[in-house]
Amino acid sequence: MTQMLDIKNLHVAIEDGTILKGLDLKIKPGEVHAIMGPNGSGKSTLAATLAGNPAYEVTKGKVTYLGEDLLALEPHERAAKGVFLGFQYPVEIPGVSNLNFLRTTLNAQRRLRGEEPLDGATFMKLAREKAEKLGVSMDMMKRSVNVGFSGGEKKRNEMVQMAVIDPKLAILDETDSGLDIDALKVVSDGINALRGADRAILLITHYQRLLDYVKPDHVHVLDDGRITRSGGPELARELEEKGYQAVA
Amino acid sequence: MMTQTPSHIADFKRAYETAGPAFPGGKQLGGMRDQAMERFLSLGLPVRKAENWRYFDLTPLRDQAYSPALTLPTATLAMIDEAAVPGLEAPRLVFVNGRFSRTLSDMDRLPDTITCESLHQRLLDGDDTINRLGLDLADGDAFDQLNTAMLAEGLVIDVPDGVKVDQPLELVYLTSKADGLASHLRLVIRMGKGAELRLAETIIGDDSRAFTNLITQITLADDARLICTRRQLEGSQTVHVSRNHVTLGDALYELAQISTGGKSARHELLATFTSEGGHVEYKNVQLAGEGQIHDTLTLFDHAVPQCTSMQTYRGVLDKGSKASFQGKVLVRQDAQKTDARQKADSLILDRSAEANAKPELEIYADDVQCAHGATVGELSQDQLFYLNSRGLSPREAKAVLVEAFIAELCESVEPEPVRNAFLADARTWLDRHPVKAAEEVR
Repeated sequence: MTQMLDIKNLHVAIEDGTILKGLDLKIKPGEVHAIMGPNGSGKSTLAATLAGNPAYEVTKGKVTYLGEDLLALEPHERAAKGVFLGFQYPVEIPGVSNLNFLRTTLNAQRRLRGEEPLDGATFMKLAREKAEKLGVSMDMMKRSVNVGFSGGEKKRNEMVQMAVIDPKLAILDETDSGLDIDALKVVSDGINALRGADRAILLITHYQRLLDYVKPDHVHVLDDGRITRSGGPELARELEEKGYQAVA
Repeated sequence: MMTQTPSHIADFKRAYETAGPAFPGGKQLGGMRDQAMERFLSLGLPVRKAENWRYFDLTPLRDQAYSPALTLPTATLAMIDEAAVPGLEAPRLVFVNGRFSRTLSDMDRLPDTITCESLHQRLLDGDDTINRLGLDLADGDAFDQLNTAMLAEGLVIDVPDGVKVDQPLELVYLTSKADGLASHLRLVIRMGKGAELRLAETIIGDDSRAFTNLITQITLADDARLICTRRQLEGSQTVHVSRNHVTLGDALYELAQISTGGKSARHELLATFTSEGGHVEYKNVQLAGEGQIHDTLTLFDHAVPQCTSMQTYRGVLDKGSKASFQGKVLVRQDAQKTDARQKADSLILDRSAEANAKPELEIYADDVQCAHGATVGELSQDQLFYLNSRGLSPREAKAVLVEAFIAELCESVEPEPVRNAFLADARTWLDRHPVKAAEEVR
């Protein structure tokens, strides 16, 4: 089967130095991968780079997404082609309502794909349905994007966006951090709902906790900018028991 | 020592002499005009050294001659329809190239509870109107003097005591195919006790090298309310100077404005409180594109106690533009319990833009609440990337954030058709302006 995402020898630098130092990773459609690793190992850098954050410079390596050179695409083009980044720290945007934001972004993606924009009624039905499932009230949907939201609410809001946008490749950067156990279940349900034969999910996390709810097919350990070990779900438990130091 | 009259001053003098015979009014008015012209000639145009004018650019007024239109204008109703606020149910009063157009105005739809007449007509009626209307601005600057000298066109609106007008009045000023045209317009609005009126103004033009000099004199008696909106959408080569002189008692004056037009465009709001309880609310959204200079200047004279004022300014500056807010609040010694606030925020979309904010509080009373704040900022890279990652192009993301920046001000505008027009004007500007995606540095 062809790869959905194929990362080869990826090196990424920011102003302060090189973070990723030769990362390789292959993800097939239908798979869920988890990347675990200590603070500073480069997990968020990987997520930001795949989404195209201009603050991160690819100095070496190649990323192929559905047969295309991902790194040659602008961030919004990546989004339109199905790449979604769930932010570790979702950004607040005062003055733009959640609903307006979601509709504008969804229709911008559709336009780029040459699809008709969704009309107001169809969009509202979709947004209402997805928000309800993730325990986000319509009142919150009318408020400015992430403004005044708690950490957990912001993460749930990311999942509403993901559910409405319906991406092919979801990269979730520590979506589980800052969630209490109830919210973790809700968010996990949201992630599981996205699973499908033609989609893939890349979970970036510190803790094994999320993986009790979202079962990964593959687990990788990221250490100092490289994947140092890969395995099945049992690797996550081993990490949790022994710590990164011992395993990596 | 003899100093030579600068050529642009001579141009204005020539324009005055040429147009003079066509100006309405009798001897007394003629005398007033001459005196005003004399004052203009001795004052000259303001120079950069004058503190109030330091951010502005009057070069276009020095580079070319501007004269009033001597013939009656021609414009089609379709042109006015396009300029007006879509969906606003209001009788229209229309000016084309600085001349009042009776045929394009809805004189027969005006409410019969008020009087509203063209200034031209009033000046033809006789000299005694001059004194009653307070048209002479003897203490004013060059623009006041020029406006008085060339006094011919405008409106006189009187809302008698107790008359509340439900339906707004719409004023449309159109400049079209008018290189070298000067529109010196004067509006006189007098609100009686407990009177209420809404005005919706649209000032719009093509890319003519024209000059608009619009002066509005407003008086409000106690318990009066005047709610005004103004869209300043002049053409990109036009010099726009507009000035509102407001004197109010225990009354309410509101002005919400959006400005996208003009090469050099300046708006002044000068308000004087004359009895306790007055409130002035001023909102101004300025969107400046390449080569444009936008100025906002306010002076609120809190001369009596217990008055309140609120000024909110939002400036958006694309590359190569300049916009300034100079806001002064004067609280005189007797004006205890004054509550005066001003907030000026500017957003620059490119480092080549220049935003200036000069809030000024001059306070002589000791029991007052005054606050001012000014910020100049850029779009947040985090917000831009967040929007990009969700599928918006850099240009679309900028538009969303700029719209959010000004939305709060626009959304409080009433009535709804005017609010929608403000938002549409902002979107039109956004479609045309913010720095192109291709020019962005990754």
